[in-house]
Amino acid sequence: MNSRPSLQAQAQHALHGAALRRACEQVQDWRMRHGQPTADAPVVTARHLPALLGRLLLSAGPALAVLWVLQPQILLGWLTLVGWWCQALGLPLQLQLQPLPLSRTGWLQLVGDSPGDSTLLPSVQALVWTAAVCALVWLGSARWPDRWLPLRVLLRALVGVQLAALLFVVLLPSQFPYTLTSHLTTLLNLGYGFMAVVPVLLSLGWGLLALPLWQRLLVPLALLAYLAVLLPHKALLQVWLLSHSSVVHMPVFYVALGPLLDLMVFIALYGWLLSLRPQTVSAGPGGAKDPRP
Amino acid sequence: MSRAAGPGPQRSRRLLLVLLALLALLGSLAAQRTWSWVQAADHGLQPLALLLPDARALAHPVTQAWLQVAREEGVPLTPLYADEFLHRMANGQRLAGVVVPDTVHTRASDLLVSQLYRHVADGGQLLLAFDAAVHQPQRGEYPPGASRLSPLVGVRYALYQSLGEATTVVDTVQASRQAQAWLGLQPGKLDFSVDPQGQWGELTTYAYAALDYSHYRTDTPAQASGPLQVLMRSAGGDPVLTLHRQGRGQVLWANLPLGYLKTRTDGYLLHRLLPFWARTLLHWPVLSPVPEGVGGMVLNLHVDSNAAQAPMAVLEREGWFDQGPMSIHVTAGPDAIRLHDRTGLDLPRNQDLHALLQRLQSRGHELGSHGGWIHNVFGYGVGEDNAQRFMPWLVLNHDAVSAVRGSPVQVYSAPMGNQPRWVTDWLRRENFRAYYTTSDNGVGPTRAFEQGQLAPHSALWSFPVSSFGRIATLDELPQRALPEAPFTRFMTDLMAYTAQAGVVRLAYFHPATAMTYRATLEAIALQAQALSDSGRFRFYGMQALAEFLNRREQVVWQLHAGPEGQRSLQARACCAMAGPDRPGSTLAGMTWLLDRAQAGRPEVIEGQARIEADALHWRVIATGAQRLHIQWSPA
Repeated sequence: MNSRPSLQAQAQHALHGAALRRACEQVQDWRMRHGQPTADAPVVTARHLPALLGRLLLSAGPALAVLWVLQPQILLGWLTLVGWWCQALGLPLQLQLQPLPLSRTGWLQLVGDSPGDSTLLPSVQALVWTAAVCALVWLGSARWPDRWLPLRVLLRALVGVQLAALLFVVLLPSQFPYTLTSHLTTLLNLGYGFMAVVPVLLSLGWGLLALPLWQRLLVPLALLAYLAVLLPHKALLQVWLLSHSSVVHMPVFYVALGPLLDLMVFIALYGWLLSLRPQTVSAGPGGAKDPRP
Repeated sequence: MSRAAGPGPQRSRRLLLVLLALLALLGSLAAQRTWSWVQAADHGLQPLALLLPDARALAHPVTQAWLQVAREEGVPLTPLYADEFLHRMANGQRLAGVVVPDTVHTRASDLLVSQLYRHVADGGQLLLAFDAAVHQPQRGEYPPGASRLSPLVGVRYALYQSLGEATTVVDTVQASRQAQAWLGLQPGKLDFSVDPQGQWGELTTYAYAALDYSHYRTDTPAQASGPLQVLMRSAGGDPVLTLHRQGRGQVLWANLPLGYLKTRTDGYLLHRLLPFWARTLLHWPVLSPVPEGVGGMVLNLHVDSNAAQAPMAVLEREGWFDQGPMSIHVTAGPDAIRLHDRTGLDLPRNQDLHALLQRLQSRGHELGSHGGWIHNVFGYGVGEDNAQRFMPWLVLNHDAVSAVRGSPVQVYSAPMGNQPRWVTDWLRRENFRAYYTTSDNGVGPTRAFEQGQLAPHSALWSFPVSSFGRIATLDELPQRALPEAPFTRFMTDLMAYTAQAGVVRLAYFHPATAMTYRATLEAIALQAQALSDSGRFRFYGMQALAEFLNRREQVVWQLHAGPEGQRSLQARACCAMAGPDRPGSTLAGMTWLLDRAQAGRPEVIEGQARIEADALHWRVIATGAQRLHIQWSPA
């Protein structure tokens, strides 16, 4: 018989020492004595699996189907919207709807068709100003009180991105891969991809809860409708800002106003949805019960 | 406690130092770049730029081909890397003209492409060659649909998505009458018999039945926002050379790999396109490729058998040799067609010929070596791998002709046009100045490309032959059942062309046939006289012209912009030209051509020059001194 401790025990010992191991043993012991399932017990039993899958499918399926069926209409709507705004803002951008390369399934993508757009490169003055502002923000934020630490970290991260972009544009501008048009099409295509992921993410968390059917069906669709309006306008906002600055700010706008912000918007909406859950729910899969009275 | 905490902060400090050092390094690089753009704004007139992806592309043979042809045609083309181009655009430094070459600059980012659009929209001239900027930068793939430059060019091309392997095809190409006039395509280069209306002529070369070129298949015109002119097309109808007005600028697109073709000894189109672009579209001053800007002809006589001796004597008697200089190349052995056939000139023992050649030399004609002792045996037999057998023949011939000349001959022509590489190496070693060649058909004297590489730098120039369609000399008329009259007209037209275009072309014939084609020889003499009387034509010897070109290569010149549209040109004879063995260490004979439609009469500020005017140009002819400074106001 091999008397060596398990790998998990070795790791725990190595990482946290004996105190943590003792704590783990006490938790296991408490679970045994109170009839709670141990860590090795299945979270979802076979009895609950069909109901769980049903909830997942009902939460994500209809929204994904609508997204799939209306893909041309959504993208054409974006095209119209972008065209209208470009005219209103005087941006010489032209987009087209094309089949995705190598796709025989009918998936579409937006393609920029105007390499002659007004993509601006930074002048020497613009580079100097950008560097100066970066330095000011970095140095200025050092004097902020500790309670502003999260803001300082965020701003300094953005300054880091901006300085990296500045160096890249100074040293290798010809390798910079985006123009206003390609940036906009990238944001819109990414945005559509993000919309396709949202129902799945939603169903894997919020969708597991016991919800009324109308909520399960309509909330993902409402979320998609919200994103369908938000995403093109957010992309246009970036392009408008860039048309008044230059490509040297494109990476920082991408980080600050791009997919990361989309994800944060989703998390906010997700949190809001969870806060709206019913006061009482029936026993969920795996025997979980609402702990509130 | 302090010892335990020590290594952590120390490591952090080291890391911080390394990071700071790295930042300082990058910062200094960035500052150096930034400073170079600021300085670039002060460098006078923005140059005509050859846009290269990076410094590595400079050594590429195709880049060398573009730059070499620009030097030979007197176009001041300067390499400019893509990064620097973008910085210039960012800082509002307008370039007059940008060339994006084939083969070396196929990948370009959307950003670079967008700035090419901006360059044209702002009034710049753009010359695009074949696959320039067609590929996306990351993986080198064709973009979806067509080339991103299609709207700029006015033609949809690089249609890989729809055509796949048939994206490019091989076909003959044709030029319009308008293209012939605009590009200055010389007589004999186009065969108009292929077009029933006689408006399109097929591009031809010496000895080949058809001259096929790889080019992109094209689609319907792409959102052509301005007039599109098709100057050349393929036999299949694809545009091969187009001129498209876009915004305030123009795009000249060559659907042919011009630079690559030059490295493969077919540089004719590149040699014509660059001066057309610089002179006609950009109205840019150029340095003439000939002394004093006077065009002319190298008339190369291949004296290769004893059948030539009597006609030579007749020509001398009749005064045909009164004009010149002619470049007379002799095969000196006793045999010509086979070993021991005794049909050669046997120069070492042929006193009459010896005397004739010396008389001709004393009248200014040039003597050269024509191959290796026995014309046909050498011409047909010499190859890359038999230098041991034929080198002695080459030396024998060289010694025999040099003995007549009184000094080593320095010009050469290959029998049958057959010149293995070792022969060229030998010419270089023996300090030859020039040789006749059948490659680069129709071009003036040029630096040769051998096996795709620019030949090692030396004093040696190749002199390509000009042809009448697929033949180059009178002897070939019977083989093609052609009458003499069209060839006679070709020769006189070619001479008029050289005078009008201010270029030099080489034509050759065998004196053995002189008596058969007396009409042509008489026409040549009459035309030469008429053109010489007008001061616009000369015969040139190969050696003298090669030495002029060697001096010309050392000339450094630059244009500057002054206040109120004033322009100035500063030139200097580079120090490499000086020295006791280089008497011509001045700018004498160098000639700049200024477009009269753009420039008022130039004024000499420094140096020695005379100013002449013809219908189109001011000709600024340096007469001495090592430096020249001229300036002019807008016309």
